[in-house]
Order: sequence, then structure tokens, then C-alpha cells
Amino acid sequence: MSLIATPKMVEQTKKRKISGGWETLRALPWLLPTLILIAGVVLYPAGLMIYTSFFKYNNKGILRSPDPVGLDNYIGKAGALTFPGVPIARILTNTVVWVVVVVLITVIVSLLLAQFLNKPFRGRKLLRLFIILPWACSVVMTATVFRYGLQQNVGLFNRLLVDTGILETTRAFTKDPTSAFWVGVFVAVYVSLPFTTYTILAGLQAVPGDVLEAAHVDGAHSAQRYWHIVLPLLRPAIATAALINIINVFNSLPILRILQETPGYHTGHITTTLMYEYQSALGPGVSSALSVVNFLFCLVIIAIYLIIVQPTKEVG
Amino acid sequence: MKMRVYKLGVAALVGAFALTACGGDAAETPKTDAPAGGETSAAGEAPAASAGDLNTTIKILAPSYSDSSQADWDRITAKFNEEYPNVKVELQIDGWDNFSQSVQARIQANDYPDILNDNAFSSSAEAGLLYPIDELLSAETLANIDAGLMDNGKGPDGTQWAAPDIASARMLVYNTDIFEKAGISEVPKSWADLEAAAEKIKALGDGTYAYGMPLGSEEAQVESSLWVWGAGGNWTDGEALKANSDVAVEGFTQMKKMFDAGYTQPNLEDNRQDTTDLLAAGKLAMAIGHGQVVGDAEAKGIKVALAPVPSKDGEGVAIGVTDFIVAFNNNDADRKAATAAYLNYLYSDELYEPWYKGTGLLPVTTSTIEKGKAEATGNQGAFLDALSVVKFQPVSNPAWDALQTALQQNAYKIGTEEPAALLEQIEAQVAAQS
Amino acid sequence: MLKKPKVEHKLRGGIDKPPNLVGVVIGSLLIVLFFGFPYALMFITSLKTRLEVTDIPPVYFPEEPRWANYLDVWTSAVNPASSLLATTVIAVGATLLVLLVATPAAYYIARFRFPGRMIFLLLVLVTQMLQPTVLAVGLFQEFKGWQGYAVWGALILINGAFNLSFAIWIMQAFFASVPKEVDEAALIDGLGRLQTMFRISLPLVWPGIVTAIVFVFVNSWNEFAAALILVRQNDLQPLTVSMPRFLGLYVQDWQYLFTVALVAIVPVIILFSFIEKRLIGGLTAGSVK
Repeated sequence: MSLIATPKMVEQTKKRKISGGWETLRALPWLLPTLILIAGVVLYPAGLMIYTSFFKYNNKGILRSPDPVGLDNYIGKAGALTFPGVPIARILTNTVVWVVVVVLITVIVSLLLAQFLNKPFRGRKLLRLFIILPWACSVVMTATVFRYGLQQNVGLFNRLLVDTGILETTRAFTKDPTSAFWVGVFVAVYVSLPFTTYTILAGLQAVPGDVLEAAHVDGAHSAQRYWHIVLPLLRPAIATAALINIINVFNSLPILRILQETPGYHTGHITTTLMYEYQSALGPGVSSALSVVNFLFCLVIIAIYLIIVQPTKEVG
Repeated sequence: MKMRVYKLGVAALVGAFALTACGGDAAETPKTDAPAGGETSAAGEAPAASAGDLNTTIKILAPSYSDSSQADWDRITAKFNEEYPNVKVELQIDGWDNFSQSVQARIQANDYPDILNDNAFSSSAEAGLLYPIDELLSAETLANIDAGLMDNGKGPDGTQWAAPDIASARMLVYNTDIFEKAGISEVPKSWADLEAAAEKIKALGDGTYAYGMPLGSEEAQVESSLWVWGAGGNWTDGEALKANSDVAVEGFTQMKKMFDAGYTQPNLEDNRQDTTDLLAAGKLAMAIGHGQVVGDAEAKGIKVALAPVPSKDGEGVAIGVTDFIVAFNNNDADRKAATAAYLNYLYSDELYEPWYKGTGLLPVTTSTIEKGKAEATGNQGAFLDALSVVKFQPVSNPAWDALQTALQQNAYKIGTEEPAALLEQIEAQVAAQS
Repeated sequence: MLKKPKVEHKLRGGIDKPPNLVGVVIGSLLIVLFFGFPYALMFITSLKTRLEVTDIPPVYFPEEPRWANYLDVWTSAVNPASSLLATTVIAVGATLLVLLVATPAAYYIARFRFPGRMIFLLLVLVTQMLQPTVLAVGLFQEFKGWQGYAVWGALILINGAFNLSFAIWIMQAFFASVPKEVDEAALIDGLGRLQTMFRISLPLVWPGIVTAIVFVFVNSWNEFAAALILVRQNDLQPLTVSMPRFLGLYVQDWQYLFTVALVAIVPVIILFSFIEKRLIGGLTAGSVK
């Protein structure tokens, strides 16, 4: 997919630098609908979130004082980062582990799945529909069925694990913060697979067959061929899919909220679920403060990713 | 925010608001309705003269008690609209899990529902967002609501901010077959009895748990309150709430004793549904339960009976929980009038009975309580009887929200932490918010 | 873990060579098992009675499958039919909106370099980082007046806005892979830019567009936070909001919940089976490069 910079393009680039303002203006009609939608729908609530984070509310959403409280909601005595009993360092670590592990496993498994589903064989189409299941069924419902199945007493997954001899007795997977966290990782990978697999599958369609044939004729070993030819061509698709996955996984609320049955500020939170916990326990002021922190945290992770991976390199 | 105090002749008001089903011109706002904060008064605006002319929209926000909840409300709305055809009723029902989010968003955005069905009222009342509910309910309606339950909706200064709409009583539910098998002849009354009985059940050695202690986020405040009350105290310390009083520590120490001795189910994080399931499966001998628990167990062929909850010295306790109707002040006389009329429909016998039955809980009006008692079969009547002796949690204290939340978030840790330290941690979380 | 055996076959099979039959069968079975098992549990549970759902120990199969659940649920007060309609309208609307808005942007971004291009791409990305969950209250303030059917409009705008970024990013990657020369030829033939985009480039980037469509559609289909606080009328609530009402405070109808969850999968799968052809057949090898 990478475009080779021709002398002509270099020429064009130079020209553009001169008439930059004009170029931007010319781009406007094409970008305007996007900009309007973002400005109209996203900016106002985002601004309000920041504003809210400087006011004191109770958990019914009632404003406690008309004066701003400075950074109280961030680092005050009931602040998002300093509330008594909240293992904040652990939660920040969890968040990084959560994002890195889920996205890595998702991308690797999706590459394998996409390769497999790209083969021509009977029933491939049906199989492709099958892997869409975790996505077609909402994330909330998928997480819910895992929670139900993993109940210690009424859960069928638990019974199955015991009946097959994998477990000796049933376990309350979702009532221990650590085991629930890893169940959450599993479910997060599970629900991210369809999207990632499909994106890579779409990328594979764009790998020209003759490229592969040529490589085949050259006698390249298949693994080598995959590594040196296919993977680089898939790079834009993978990079974009991973990027979106990082953001989505980072912000993923329902999975851990549903699968963590331990109440309160336990050690199985990520910042996003902690934010939700704050929202119901401490109200919108503190949770907005954590949202702001959360957003900055996400920004840092994305910035690191963009610098390392440079997903727009080929085209930009 | 300054609290608006309605210094009014309540009786006069109530009379003026006697919006019975046939009261054509009763929607008129009384002249006496002149609260201290004049600008927020509804009195200045002239309300519509008669029911048919009342042309407005009222908003209701309610949780889903069961999947019939919407139909239950719709029935009331249909009847209400017969008399008030031009009042649009906007009903929003959300699942329990996310209900507090909906409430919070609406209040934060100053978009108050006219009628909110919730389990708390104190902070809204403190912030001056509510009408005292007795401004809206007719004398007849007010008189019909059980006085003991009604008291639960009073603020610290005695203002009736909220009216209970449904109640539930929790009692000790026990499996009679297991008791027989374990050779327990008398229902435990004191903590010592309870331990003795639990020991016998444990000695059966068939994996039956003696006592269900659900300290998950749903039920922790109820379960732990019962133990604190059983120790002879409460969460209060004078006017203020206090989590780590000596008596609370005593109650929590007893809870820990039960857990450490292996008398409880292994996961204290369990929610009510988990212990209900265990009980209904015949794998749990005792639990604090409400009507649905008994119903589910009996439906599965488990024989259960009811008793007061054991306490330290043997004097039984019972806990009551009510949900409330509160009416937000939207500074609109028409909406207030329509809200009042609507609520009086809600509490009318004809409409209230199917409505409360839909929730699967207990009624709050004396007429339906009596009717319920007369019709009750088996164990269900006992819960209704218990309503007159139940004790309530300190819901009228605005700090209760924070304490309740902290209990829900932390009480389960009693299995692994020291009672005093745990309660201190809870107190610290509450104090941080004040 | 589970995937190991498949790997081997996959790589040896290559892309254009007919694959090893045993590998295909094993791989297919694993996929079916892996992606099917939670939904099998849903299905089994949907055939139980309310009391059977909480049996201890749980039974694998209900004594007598209650197919009636699949009928009863439609007449239950939760009214899944109207919610299904709401969900469909919102998801389709948001998908169309995103296509309409994102395609020109993605095309232009891929074709031209201009000052602010990177800023634009990053700005778009930032919107993805702000989820409706976090912004629920602000969205509520902004759209609280949109009641009645207008609330669907609000949700279409919201879902559209929060899903733009992926559509733009993925589509620009695909547009960029179409050689400029293809466009230039069309321009010389006298087609305008917009026409060129629609008639020439668009058909060449189908897989990318399909991926974007699916992404937006499914995300909108599953959106919960904004819908929860915005939709007042229960009969206008999408499924994600109405379904939890099966789990009341004291009475929980898991069997209905799972029944509706399974039924709700069907439209998505149908949409998918149609659109999926495009994904495979859209680009014939060699038309690019």
C-alpha cells in the first residue's frame, strides 16, 4: 500500500508549502461536515466535563456550592486520586496492563484468524459470520452471559469446568478482583476479535495476489513470505485497528463493570471503571475530575503508540 | 443553597389540595402558598381552573421493580388522563442497575422530574429541590398511608418531604427441614442461640450453609444495619451519623465471628440474589429475606418459616425498607397541580393495589395492608404484620447516602479485616465527603 | 493456547493454494466452539423457566424447553419489538451519517497534503477517546430538549460523531492505496472531484468502507450510555437500555433477557451476510497496483 515518493510528488509538496493557507481553505469543504459534527456533538460535553470537575457535587448530582473548588476534586480530601481506601497506583498499573495485554493478544489472534478465514474453502462464509457473534451480540450481553455462566452456584461454565475435571470445585471467579480482572481480559479480547479480524481481513483483500505468487515462485518460505511481504502490506490496517482498539479497550466500561462483582474500590479496577464507581458513589464532580485525568492518560498512551508505530507513515 | 422552608398551615394546604377523583376545581393553588423564597413560589402563576383545562406535561422517573413496572404505571396514567386529558405524562423507567445514573444526570442538568420514585430523599430535600409531599397529597391520601411508614419520609425537622410508595420488611427466613434434620427445636433468638444452631447445621456436614450473609453492593447496608441494631445500637451519634461507634464495632465483630466460624456462605460479596438462590436450592438454612425470597423458595418446594432477626440479647429486630415518592419543585403551578392529582390517583385503592402488586413488595396504605393481611396465605401475611414493628435506617439524614454507599462498598471486607479498622475506614470515606 | 494447531496449517496453506482439509476442519471446529459457547449458554438459558435459571447445581438442559419464552417476551412490558425498531433506526441512521460525512474527508486526506492535515486526523482521533459514557451529562444538557422521535435524531448524531474517527482513519488508509493515476485519468475525462470519488475511487476501496460500516453500525447498535440518559419514553428506548429492565430489583428474568439478546443478533448477522460479499468480492486481485 505504500506509495513511493515520485519526483513529481516532491515537487507538489514544495508547491503546497508556498500556498499553505489556500490549500487548507480548499480542503475545508471536504472536511467541514466532520468538523461541524465534532464541534456540535463532542466539544460542548467535553468542555462541560472539564468545567464540572472544578465543582463540588454530591452523588445525587446536586451542586453543593456555587463556587469552584479548585483542584479539590482531583487531589482534595475526597479527590479522585486521593480518596481514602482507593488503591490508585495499582489501578493505574492495571490500566496499562489491561490495554497492552488485551490489544496485543487481540491483534495476534486476529492475524491468525484473518489468515485462516482468507483461505478459500467451503463454509468459509458461514465461519466468518460465526466470528461476528461477540460483536453482533452487544458487549454488555456477552459480558453478562460470562458473568452468569461463571457464577459459583448457578453458573454452567463453572459446572462444566468441574465436570470435565479442570476444576475440583466451583469457583467464584467474578468475586475476586484479580481473577475477575483476567476473566475481563479474556472477554475484552473476545469481543475485540471480530472487529480486528475483519479489519485485517479487509486489509488482506488489498494484498495483490500477484505479489504473493511472485514470492511463491521465488521460493520464499511461507513463514518468511508472511513476515516480509504480507505483514508489511497489512501494516496500515493493523496499525489503525490497533489504534482504535487501544482507545476502545482503554475506555471499555461494561466488561469490567459487569464482571467485577466485588463492590467498592478494590484492586481489580482500571481508571475507567473507577470513574464509574466514583460517579455513583461521589457524584459527577469527582468522576469528571477522574475523566479528565483518564483522558490525559489515554492521550499519553496514544502519543506513545503514534510515535512508535507511526500508522500514517505510508500515506502521510 | 438555602433551604426553602415552607412555614404553612399544613392542614389548610392539605384541605385545599384535596384533589379527589371528582374534584373538578380542586386544582386551584391556595393563596396561602407563599413560601419564604418568593421568586420560586408557584403561587404567583394562575393555574388552570379545571381538570380538563389543565394543559401541561409532567415527568415521572421510576425504576424497574419487575418487568411489569411500565404497565403498572401506564394503568395509572390511563385513568388519570380520563380526567386530565390535556396533561401529558412522560414516564421514564430505567433498570435498577443504572437508575442512580439517570437520576444524577437529570438533577445535575436541572431537569427535575415532577415525580421521582427512589430510595432516598434527604439530599434533594436539604438542597431545597422538593415540595413537601403533604402539599400535594390529599388529606384522604395522607390519612390512608400507614403512619409508621410515613414517618420514614420525614426530614430531621419533621417536614414530610417524601411519601413511601412501597415497603419491604426483612425477617429471618429459615428452612424448617434443615432445622429438623439438625435437631434445632427452637428458632434462635439471641446471637448465642444463632451460633448454637449454626454449629448444629455445620455439623450436618452436607455442605449446607447455616446463615446467608449477603454483603455485596445491593444488600450490605441492610445486613450490616441489622447486626448493629442487634448489638443494641444504631448508626447515629446524637444528630450525626457515625460508622465506627462501639456498638457498630460490636455488631461487626459478631458478623466476623459468624464468618470465621464457617457459619456463612463463603463469599461475603454475594448479593441478595445469590443467597436467595442458595436458600431456594435447600443449601442454606437461614437468611434475612423479604417476600420474594420466601416465594422463590416455596416455588421450588422448600419449606420455610419466618421469625424475628436474632439479636445479642434475644429481643428480635426487624428491618423495614421503603422506597419513596418525591415531587420536585419545578416552579410551575400547573405542573404542581397535575402532579398532585396524579399522585392521588396513584394512592387510590383501585389503582394502588395492582401497582404495588406489580413491584412484588408490600403496600403502604392502611386499606391495602389490611386487605393484604386478609388475603394473605402462608408466610406472606407475616411480612405485612412485621411492617408495624420494623425499624428503619436513618434515611432522613443527608449523610446517610454517603454512609450507605461506604457500607455497600466495604462491608464485605469483614471477612478479612478487623471490625474496628474496617469501620474506621468506612468512617474516613464518609468524613472525606462532608 | 487453543489456536496453536491452526497456525501451522494457515501459514503452509498460503493464500492462493487450496488449504489442507484436516487443518480447515480442525480450525473451523475450534472457531465454532470458541465463538459459539457463550451464545450456546444464552440459548440454553433462554429455554428455561425463571426458577430453573437459578437451580443449584445448574442443569445443562431444561427439563422441558420453554419455547414459549420466545413468544411471551414480545408481549412482556419491556416491549422488545419497539426497542428493536429504535435500535435499528439509530444504528442505520448513524452508519449513513458517518458514511456521508467521513467519506469526503477520508478521500481528501488521502489525496492531498495540506497544512493542518495531521491536526485534523488527530482531532478526529481525540473524539474517539471521549466516550459518551464520560460525557453523558454534557450530552444530556445538550440534547435534553430532543424528545419524542427527535431523540433518535440526537442519538444518530451522537453515535455518528463518536464513531467518525475510525471511519476516517480506515478509509483514508484504503483510499491512499488506490493509485492517484486512476483518479487523474477520471479527472481528465471531465469528471469532477466529487464524482471521481464516488464513481472511481469508492468502488475500489469497498473492503475499507465495509469495515467502517460494520464498525459504526455495531458500535451504534451497542451504544448504551447516551441512550440511557437521553431517551425518556420507554417505547423509544433502544434494546441496550430496555433489556436491563428484565432484571428488576427483586424479580430477575434472565431467560427473557437472553431470549431478546439472541433475537437481536439476527438482524446484525443478516446485514453482515449481505455486506460480507462486498468485503470478499469488492477488490479483485490486481486491480490495485
